[in-house]
Amino acid sequence: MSVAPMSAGDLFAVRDAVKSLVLVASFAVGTVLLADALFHHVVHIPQAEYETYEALRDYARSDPHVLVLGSSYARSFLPLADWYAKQPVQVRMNVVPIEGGKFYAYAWLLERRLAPLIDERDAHGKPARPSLSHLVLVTNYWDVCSSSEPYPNLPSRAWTLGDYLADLAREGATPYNQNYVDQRWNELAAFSSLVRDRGVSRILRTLRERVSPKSQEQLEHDQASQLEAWIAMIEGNDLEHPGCFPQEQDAALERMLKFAHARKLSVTLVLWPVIPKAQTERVLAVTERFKRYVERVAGVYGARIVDLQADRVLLDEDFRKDLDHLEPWGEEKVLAWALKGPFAKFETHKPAALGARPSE
Amino acid sequence: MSFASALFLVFFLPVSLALYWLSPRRSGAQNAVLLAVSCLYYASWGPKALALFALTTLVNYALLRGLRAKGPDGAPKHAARLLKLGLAYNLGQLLVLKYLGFFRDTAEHIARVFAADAALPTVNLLVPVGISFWTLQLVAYLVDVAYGRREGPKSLLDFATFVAFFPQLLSGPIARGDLIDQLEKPRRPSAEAFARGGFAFLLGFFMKFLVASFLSGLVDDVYAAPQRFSAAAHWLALYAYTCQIFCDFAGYSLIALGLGECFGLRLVENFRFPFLAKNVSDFWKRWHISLTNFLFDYIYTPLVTGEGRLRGKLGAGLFIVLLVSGLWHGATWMFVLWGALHGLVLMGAHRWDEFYRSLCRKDRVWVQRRKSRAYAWGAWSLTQGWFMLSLIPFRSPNLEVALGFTRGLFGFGGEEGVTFGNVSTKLNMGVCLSFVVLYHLAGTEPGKRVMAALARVPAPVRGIAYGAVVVYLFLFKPLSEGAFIYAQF
Repeated sequence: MSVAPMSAGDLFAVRDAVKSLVLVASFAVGTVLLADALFHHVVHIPQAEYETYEALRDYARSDPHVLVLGSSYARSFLPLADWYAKQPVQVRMNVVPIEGGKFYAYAWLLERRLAPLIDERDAHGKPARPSLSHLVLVTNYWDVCSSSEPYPNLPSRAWTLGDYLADLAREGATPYNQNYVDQRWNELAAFSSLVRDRGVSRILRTLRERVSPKSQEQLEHDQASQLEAWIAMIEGNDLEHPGCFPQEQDAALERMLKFAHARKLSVTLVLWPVIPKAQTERVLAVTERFKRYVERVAGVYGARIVDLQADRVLLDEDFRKDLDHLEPWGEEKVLAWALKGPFAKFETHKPAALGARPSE
Repeated sequence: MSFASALFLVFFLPVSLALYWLSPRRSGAQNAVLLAVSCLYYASWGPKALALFALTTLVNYALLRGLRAKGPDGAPKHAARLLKLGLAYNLGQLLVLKYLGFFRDTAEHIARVFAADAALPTVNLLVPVGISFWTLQLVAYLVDVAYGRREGPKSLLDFATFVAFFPQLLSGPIARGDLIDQLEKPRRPSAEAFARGGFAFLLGFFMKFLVASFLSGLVDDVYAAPQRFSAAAHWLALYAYTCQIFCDFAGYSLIALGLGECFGLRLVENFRFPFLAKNVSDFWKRWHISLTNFLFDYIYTPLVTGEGRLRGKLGAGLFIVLLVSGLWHGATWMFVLWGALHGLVLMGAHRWDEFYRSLCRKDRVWVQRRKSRAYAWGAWSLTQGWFMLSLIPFRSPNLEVALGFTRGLFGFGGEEGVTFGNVSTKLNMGVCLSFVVLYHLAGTEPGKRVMAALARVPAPVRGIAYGAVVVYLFLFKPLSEGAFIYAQF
């Protein structure tokens, strides 16, 4: 059956309805764009950070000597990578951060995304990227505890379209694999303040502060509450906490060390520090227990351990307001510390030809 | 694939609409596109269930073909037998997949009364998403065709599209035969339908993904540790849960309606300002209307009329219908209790009506009293208060939690109040908590006049208002969608 033709009267009515619909839609879109532009001027939304997929792309384009793998803290090694890239005898360093990472996530990245690049052979059967000789794992107490949820940053930051489609075919569209699509959408609409602000609430925070600025007393109270919550969170990540240290994290660390051992890579585990003002007795006990655990496991594989906390490199003011990541001057301190001691020299197999971060 | 996901909003919906409206304007082509995208949508919730869904569709189609076949005398051949077969297949499948675990657990509990270590084998069956909804849709259609109220599908494509139409597939509204009538005709894009659909979609989206999701946090906090919270916090949480469940499901239904309009199809209205109801009977005519209609058309009426087993026993019929409704909502004893309580109250209301009518027959002054404002307010308060309280067992996983929460309502909990966080959270909480009131005010006579006036405002102003809602959603819609309460049914 097909549709009957319309009369002239119908056509006029349709024309008016379409006009009205187009007007409503245009003004709605215009309002959203206007609000977006307004927020863009009023609120400072920082540029997106160097992400896992960018790091993987950079690895594929280069032949690094050093692979730095870690959670967001790994980004603090980017200045070191840049420094080495500018030296006459380059050491190419590829930094792969995975937000909120755990051993399980690092292992997934190493085995699923990095191993094919590390082990790739050229047409003559020779290694396509033969230079890799060092693996640096940036870790802290956080890496032993995994939430019961699947780890959402893998789909969003490390999956390929193939990974996504395979999971989609297996499980259907789940909140877990939805992270892949969300991240692609975020990248596509990166121009939009509203899209980039989702889940971060900088816009609301800024507007709130403009409308009713907090008093000094309130600010101090908020900071004290934040610090209290931060300390409680660290203490909750104790190895002895029942929710912590599930076998999958344990096994993941061992797998990574075995992976490196099998490829004759030297391994350094960097223990990331807790902000000094959160270093209560119980917090120090947590980090100490974690250190002992890492030393025991790493010792079996001859891995080196460096402890930024024990070296007392960073002060409270070197950390951002989130109490976790570093301000640029904090990263400078890490760079100075690294060059003074633990990362002053890397034995490289071959002279370098490319920069560490070709995209920049 | 959630309706709020980027995958749906940015890719699936625009592509589906484009394919649908760019396809040849014939019902066959349009239905083919609609069926393909609906299957894809269903598969997105778990590809394994698609095979069972497809099998169920084929079996029902074969039965319907059989029901349409007529003997030499023009009478349907084997209609009764085929209907029984169809009911057994559809309801049996629902019982096994959804309720076997419940029956197993109940049997184990009973067995443990007699033997302490009685343990039955565990049942882990795949429960296809939306099975409670599409089973009722199939049953209704089978019965209608068997009783000659409907002719039956003209083609497998039409029928499969009717069953699989994705906006209503998972959580209704439970479609009836009029949807297949629409699917048998070609559809033409209409600006009015798009406008209606867009409005319903945006309103539903706001209700489900902002109001319901946001309020779920408050409700969950109090339910997680009722002993900590004060009576005021309990009442607030109960009110919030009432708003949450309404916005969750009415919002979903509006989204489905809106999507239906965008595809040129009209789905049945599922909610009609239920919190304006002044008696429980009226309430059920306004809440989950498609389910109530199903229960009354296919269970209540056959039971209490004609040759029904409960002929004339209207109260008993009401009780059974609500009991079935409770069990339909979930395979737990708390839902059965919820249904039973509502059944008893509906029976009581029915008796009260009969009693009151007898008073009116004796003295007309009772008619005037019933029309008074005081009676209306009293009836409204009792109806809505009862519904709110009935949500305690509905929300509670077991009787212990329900009783604990009830104690908390009357001051036997703790002293902690609900904290709303910062200014913007408070603002959003205020918007969410007052939304349901404002929404229902729109259903009153003055509200309808205001809405009609708003509908006449110039298109640019409406556009700006919609845009502002979208911006608000961007800023306040929680990242987590919270539980979709009705998807669990």
